[in-house]
Amino acid sequence: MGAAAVFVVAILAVASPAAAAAGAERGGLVTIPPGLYTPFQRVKAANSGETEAQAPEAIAAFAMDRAPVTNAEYLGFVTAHPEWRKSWTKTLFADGRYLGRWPADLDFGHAEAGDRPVTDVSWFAARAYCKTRGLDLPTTAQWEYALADAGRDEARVRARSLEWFSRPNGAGPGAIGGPVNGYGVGNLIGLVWEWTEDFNAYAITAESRDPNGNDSAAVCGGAAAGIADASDYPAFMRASMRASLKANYTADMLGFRCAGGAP
Amino acid sequence: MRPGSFGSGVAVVAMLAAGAALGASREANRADPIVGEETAVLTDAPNVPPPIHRNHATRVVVHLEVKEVEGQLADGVRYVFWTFGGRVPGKFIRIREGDEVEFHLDNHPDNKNPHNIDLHAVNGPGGGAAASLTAPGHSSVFSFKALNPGLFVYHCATAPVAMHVGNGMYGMILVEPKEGLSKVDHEYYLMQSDFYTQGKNGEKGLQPFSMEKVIDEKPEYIVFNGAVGSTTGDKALTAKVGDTVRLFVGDGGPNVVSSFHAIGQIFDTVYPEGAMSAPTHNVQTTTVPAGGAAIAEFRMSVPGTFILVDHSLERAFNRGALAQLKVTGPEDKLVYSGKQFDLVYQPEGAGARAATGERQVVLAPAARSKEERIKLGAEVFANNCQACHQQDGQGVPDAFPPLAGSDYLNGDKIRAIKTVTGGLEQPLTVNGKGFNGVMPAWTLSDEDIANVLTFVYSKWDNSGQEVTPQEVKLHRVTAGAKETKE
Amino acid sequence: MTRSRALKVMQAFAAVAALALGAAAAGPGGWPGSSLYNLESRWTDQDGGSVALDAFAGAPVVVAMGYTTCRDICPAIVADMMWVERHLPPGATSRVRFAFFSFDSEADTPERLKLYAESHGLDPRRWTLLRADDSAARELAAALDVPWRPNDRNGFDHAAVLTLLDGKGEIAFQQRGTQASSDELLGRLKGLIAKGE
Repeated sequence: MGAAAVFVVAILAVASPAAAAAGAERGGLVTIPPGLYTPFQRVKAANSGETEAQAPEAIAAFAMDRAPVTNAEYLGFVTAHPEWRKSWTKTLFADGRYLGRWPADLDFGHAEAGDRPVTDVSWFAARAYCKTRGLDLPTTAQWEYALADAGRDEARVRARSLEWFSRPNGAGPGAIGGPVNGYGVGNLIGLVWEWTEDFNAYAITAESRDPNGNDSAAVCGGAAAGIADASDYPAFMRASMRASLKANYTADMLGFRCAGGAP
Repeated sequence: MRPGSFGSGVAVVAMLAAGAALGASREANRADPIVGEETAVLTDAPNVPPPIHRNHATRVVVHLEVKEVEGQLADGVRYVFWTFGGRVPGKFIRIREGDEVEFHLDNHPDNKNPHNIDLHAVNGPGGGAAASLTAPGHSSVFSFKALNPGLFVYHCATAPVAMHVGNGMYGMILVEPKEGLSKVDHEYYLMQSDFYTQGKNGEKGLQPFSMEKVIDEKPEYIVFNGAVGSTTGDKALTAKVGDTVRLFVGDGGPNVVSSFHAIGQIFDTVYPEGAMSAPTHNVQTTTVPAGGAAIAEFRMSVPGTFILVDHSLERAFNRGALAQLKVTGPEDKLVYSGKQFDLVYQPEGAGARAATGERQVVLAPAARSKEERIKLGAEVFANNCQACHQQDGQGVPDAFPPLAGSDYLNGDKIRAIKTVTGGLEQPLTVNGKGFNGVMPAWTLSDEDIANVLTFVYSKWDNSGQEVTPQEVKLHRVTAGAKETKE
Repeated sequence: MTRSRALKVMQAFAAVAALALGAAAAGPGGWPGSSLYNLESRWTDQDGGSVALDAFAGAPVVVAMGYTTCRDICPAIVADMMWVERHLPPGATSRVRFAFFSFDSEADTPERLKLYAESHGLDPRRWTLLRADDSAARELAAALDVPWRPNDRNGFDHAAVLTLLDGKGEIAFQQRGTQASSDELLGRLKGLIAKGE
């Protein structure tokens, strides 16, 4: 089948950029090769009685930050764009906790916070940051595709996710670094949650004990969501987190990275 | 109208009439006017908020804060609990039927995860869950009218639900019928639940959640009120002879149904499944479904320690589902002679344990000195022995023999090793008193058995001798399935 | 349903906080901090004109998002808006506006929007249908809290949300889901009109 062939090509294409990417500790964009991605929350037509899994989605090549955006990087952004300083920002764009760990507009506090992910930023703020670099936030599909890493180390990624959920928050996120995955992307799990461009695209199924249900008149009658793998708890956790957010929300363990079309 | 529908209509009316015996109809509760406003008193288990004496419905404001906290699951076993109010189970909420509840779900900013709440007392989509998905550092508000009286479970319903519930996110809300509940001397809150750690039962340290075990429904711990030993020893429930006791019993799950039983105490009245309409009487064991509840009421006739268990016994004696109710006061030999006959409930013992195929091999660190052996043995004792033989080694009269100053124990070290490894199923006499219970065969390592016996010998005026793993290996009862591999 | 004192206090606090922040951060338009009119995206209406969101400022506006080839929920959304329009109090018909923003930046050209308005009998004196690029649509949907995503049938899955904005662009009320009669939204709208908006 054509789809299968594309998938094989995608796996083969991975090897070289991954090798090239590993090395640098953080920062910079990594090119992710094209391939197929099966969304965790599949879409099916209402009343169609369809039960089979959704066909995989084709993901075009794209570029993505190797690591989440840091406090130091974000300081540069608010220095150049005063409208995103914490005392300037409007409630439409960020709630009252925006940059809550920062003592002042142009001060992220302890020096070691510089290479830690910036958190307490809203979707609007994260998006504005990426726009200044000519980039966007990754879509949920892009982000999940990067994490899926063509199936490499799936069990270990799940185990590390669960371990992160099981660890108390303490003083906030740790420093960026450590190993990167096969695509050369690092810190997708284990430091912070991350915003995606279409974080609310699946909020339609927020109350998800009835994954195949059609949730009332609040939802377009055209679709209900199903779950690709009900035993993938970390994927559920990410989906629930995204569904709980609104665009001006900020949270202590919620950061972001940028993405864009392939260079 | 089709033939037959008239008859079934009558049946429905009759059922509704019977159900209306305690509490009012939904329609009446919906229309019940709201007078005044109050803030709900919330309590941690085993405590219950005071009874409601209002004779009208009111607006009750509930603030429930979700906190992700590290705590103790068993001796030396740490766990990150997700809680409604800081502890497991969640805060007990008490309202009256007809009340309008304004519910504030506050997700603490230090939390990592989004949460919501499904109260089984709510008539509405998701029981509130659809309206309360809340990001960390945010707060959701929704309101509901309490249409049905009863004792209800609440829990987090954020996907993956079994993980949120498996980490401790449940509690109970009592909707008192408008007549109120009868006056009793003590009310207690007891909630059973199951936990799924990556390490096996007893393995020390901070234990992460195991997705595989929760999916397979293979809990490592089944406990009351959030931890092994939460309600035993000096934390046991208390009462006096002649007192009436009401237990609000819940089962948070996520998976395991409870066969709730009080050893040596018959429940005078049970409200099965927490429903107020059809109490039953003279009950031995009542089923509490996962996500369900029951109310048990009884009067204490004699003093003693009454053990509350999930009568699916493996859970009570090996996984933690055991609590205690200590009753003081004068004996009543007419009710219970204490000597002539053994009324004690008998665990099914070694055969049943071995048949489960579940091994409980715990990798224990090797002790380097007798002092270390005693220290490590204390933990083994707390996890395996204390439930029956008690923290003070005194046992329970007529049920579990004392270890303190025990002639049976001090007289013969090898017999002690054989008893622990092979179990005991025949009557025995300890310090002049007869016992006819069953001691299960413990599938512990040589090291653990050496440590626990050395600990026991070091305590309570016992002989102080040391038992080594080599001695255990040599004298271990190795018959059949009881053998332990290391 | 009445609200408790606690809730009222909370809302009042939020409003004060919003005002304080808004005052500190009033941009060129001077809109309150939570006003939708702080969004700077530009849209094209059914006549091809370029429109900023604050073009709707000064009077209440009923806002919804959808797309013209949507055959299930969008007709119901528009029907709800038309129901509100039919029940406007006399004297308010010339002031209240209705705005329908499209997710479909590709298919929903101004011509298509105009055709849609005409075929549904939407009075151009009150109704504006608009389209913009994907990014602007996503931003507005985020601000209005309208979950949406493209589906595999050349359309979009999305929530049905009707939003009432006051004269300053702040959300006065949101109706989630479609209804036979949008009484609550109409009530809030009448309240705004009575206050002189």
